[in-house]
Amino acid sequence: MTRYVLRRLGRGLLTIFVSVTLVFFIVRAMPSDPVSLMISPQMSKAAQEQLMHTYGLDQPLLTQYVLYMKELLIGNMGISFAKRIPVTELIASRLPYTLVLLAVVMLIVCAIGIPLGVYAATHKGKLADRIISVLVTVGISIFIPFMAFLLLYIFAFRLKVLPTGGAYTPPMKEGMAFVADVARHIVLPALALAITNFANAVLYTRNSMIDVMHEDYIRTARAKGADEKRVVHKHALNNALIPTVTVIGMQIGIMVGGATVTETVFSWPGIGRLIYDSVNALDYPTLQGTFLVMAVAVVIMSFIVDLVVARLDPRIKLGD
Amino acid sequence: MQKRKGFLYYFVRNRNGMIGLAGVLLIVLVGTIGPLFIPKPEGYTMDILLAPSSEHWLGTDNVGLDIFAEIVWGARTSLYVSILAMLIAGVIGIPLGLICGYTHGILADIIDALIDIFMTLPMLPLMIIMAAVMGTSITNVALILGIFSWPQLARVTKNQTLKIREQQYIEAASCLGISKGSILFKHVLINTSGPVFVNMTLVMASAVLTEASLSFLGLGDPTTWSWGTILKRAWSQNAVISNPNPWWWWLMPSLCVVIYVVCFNLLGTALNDCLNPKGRE
Amino acid sequence: MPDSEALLRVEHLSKFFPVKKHRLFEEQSYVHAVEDVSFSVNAGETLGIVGESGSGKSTLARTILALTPSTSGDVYYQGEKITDFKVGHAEQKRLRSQMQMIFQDPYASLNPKLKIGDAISEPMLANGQASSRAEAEKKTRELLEVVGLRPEVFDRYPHEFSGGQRQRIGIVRALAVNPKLMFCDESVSALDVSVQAQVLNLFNSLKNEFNLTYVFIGHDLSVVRYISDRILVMYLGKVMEITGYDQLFSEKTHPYTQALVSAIPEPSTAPRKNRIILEGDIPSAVNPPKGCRFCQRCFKAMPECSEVEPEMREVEPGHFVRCHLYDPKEANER
Repeated sequence: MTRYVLRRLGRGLLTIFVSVTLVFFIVRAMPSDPVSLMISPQMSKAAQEQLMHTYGLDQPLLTQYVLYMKELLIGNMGISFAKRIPVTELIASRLPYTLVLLAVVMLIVCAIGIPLGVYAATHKGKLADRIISVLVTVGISIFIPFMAFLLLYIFAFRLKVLPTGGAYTPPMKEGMAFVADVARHIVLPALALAITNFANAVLYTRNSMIDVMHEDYIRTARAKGADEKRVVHKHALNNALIPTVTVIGMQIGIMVGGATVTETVFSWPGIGRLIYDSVNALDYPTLQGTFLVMAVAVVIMSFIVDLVVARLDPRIKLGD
Repeated sequence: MQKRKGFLYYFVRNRNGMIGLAGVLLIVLVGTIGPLFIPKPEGYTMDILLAPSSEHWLGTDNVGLDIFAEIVWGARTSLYVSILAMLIAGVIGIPLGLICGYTHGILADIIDALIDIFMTLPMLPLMIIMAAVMGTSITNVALILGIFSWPQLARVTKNQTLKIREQQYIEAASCLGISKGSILFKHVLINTSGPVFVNMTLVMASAVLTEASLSFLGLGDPTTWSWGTILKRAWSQNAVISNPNPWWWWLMPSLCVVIYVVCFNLLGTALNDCLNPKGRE
Repeated sequence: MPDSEALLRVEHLSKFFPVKKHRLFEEQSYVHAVEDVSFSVNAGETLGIVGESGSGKSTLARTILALTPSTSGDVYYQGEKITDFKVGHAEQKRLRSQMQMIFQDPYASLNPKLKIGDAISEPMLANGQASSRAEAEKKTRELLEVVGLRPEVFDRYPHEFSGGQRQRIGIVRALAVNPKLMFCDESVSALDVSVQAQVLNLFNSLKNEFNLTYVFIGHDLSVVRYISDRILVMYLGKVMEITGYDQLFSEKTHPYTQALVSAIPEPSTAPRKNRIILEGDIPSAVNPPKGCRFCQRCFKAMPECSEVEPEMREVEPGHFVRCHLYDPKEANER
């Protein structure tokens, strides 16, 4: 167990380190100069240099890198070029929106996707299963703007029941009214974002469920005369869920920043949208910050996935 | 020839696979021959936002250009990008996967760790940054896609290699004095080809998705048509929620992306099923 | 043993495989696949190596041929030290072509995606036995005829052939590089009995035609005996006996060898009286028994057998046995 945790921790830190380093240098290879965007021609020479110095841009690249890593260790991600506020603050204001969005996606995937996969597996080869399989193939191939446009067209334009974008309608309301407002805004982006994961959940659950149903211990359970529902839910599902959990868990980790397209289409103020805006604004510190957050999210999710899988499958001991 | 015959036998009887293959061939045909007959849509005309008709099969956009022509030229871009990305991913991923699976030692460990890390990193945001850094041309987009798709191919190749490495004919070859390089790039490689080939079709599918997403975000090539570029223009004009709604403008190109990807995924799944004796029923 | 003329000489060769550890601070344990093995092979003879599966015969061959690195000990070829083939590049090439191996499973030892012709030509081109594709093809077709295959097989794939045919293809592939010393690792075990005899005869005739020296490995003494001049008996990674063909039935053989000999089917209808049946399975090679390796299953075991490991002793000229039964001290006390 100790060995497992150590190895896991090592891999996790390595992933974060590689990601942060990669982004640091890629970002600095951008052709445009962020200083020219920030500095207005009216500024005095001294003021310009003062600004460069504040952001550390007058140092050599490697010194900048070492300084950045040092600051990172004490939790300082620098100051956003575009917003002129600490990156930590900026990310903290955006992260909740992304997390709420992902929570809703998770809910859709688990509450509908997994049962649908089980249903397809237990009705293998029947009409319902064939229809589900076709929808799944389309689902895993879906192009998010297509889904987003379709949802917008139907619900926001034709039916006019849901808003077209943003996380709330300004001005920001208080208490329950705010929650209700956000809930109305979250429906479409969550649906658009969920579709791929939803399809994956159905696919993996169905396939591994079918595999598991052929195992000897399921036949034994049946031969014992156990109730079919009990066989499916108690004996088969636990094992069948392992691949689903692995795939969905990793996907969720990646989506902390990977929902850029969805968040852009629906103007959802999350991390993905922040990346898009920061690229356009050449906001290095913010970009680096978002990647750090993403890498951390991925590492945490893969750890959670391992724990859940170990719980589902008693044969897996985390020590090995 | 027994095995090959078997594969074709099952493949032509796999309905989904044949649908996928037909779709892929159609796209290839449109993307290669189409631009020879249909001039590249450029500039502007007075036929603004016309609905589909016999003259404009898929209608026109806000500057009066024919959407069908834009889609045909977009197909060319999609093909170019996905093939180039697949080749680059293959050139990087297959040798690394072979080395990682066949050799023991520090190099294999490094490649293994790299595959792991790259597979867990959020790719789209990284590609967005890379696209911003490298500048927007379709070749650059293809390069970026290839560079970021190699881990998938490397992992499949590695897993296959691990299996083949233990085969007796590999030991026999080294006993016969055949060099390590030749064993790896001839004896092992020809036996990994099935699953690797399947994964290359999947790489092509995801390359088109990503290319469309990047150009939708404005990181595509502004000088050429791509399905994502058409969508970006439609989106920036609020085409989805404007009244009257030019549905053909936003629906058709996004439908094309979905069809392209579905066809490749169908083909890949069918190939996989037919190469794997268990999936042949 | 006439060491000076030996083509191949093996001295105290050992091969241990590390066992995968389950805990961080566990002591590393090893599988003692081959331990302290010494023998020599003279030019022109056939040495048979017998033992049950798991006795380390195949590992021994693989270690000699540097297909797996040795743990300790040395291998000499024509008087030169070639342990793990740690020699110059050119010398390595020469060794690779002079020492060849015919593998056990004719189905697994041919690459399924390579045409027969390519599979045979490739090593010739790699080792310099042929300088061009055309020359390699010509030689290949000639050799195919020597082993009784039609030259047309050149353009076929392995799955089109039966086990016996494939084994012939394997033989051609090995012969193509002009070997002197040929290791046959259970080379007929996977074949039907009728085909076994054909292939064994082929081995005998090739030996004369190409001046070969064989190390013939098998678990079936009746097969190994048929082809061998001398026989080496292995048990649990150690050599138990080295004997000439004639001394195999002498009184002074190792109890294990006696058991193996008694298992040889006899062409007789009379009921067999003295068949020795060994009890139990070969013990784990991770923790080999203390004392004699064979003591747990030996039908002549004495108290000291499980205490002290016996030494190799020459009981007759050219006949070596590792057993306390033949200890001189023991003989005096009796």
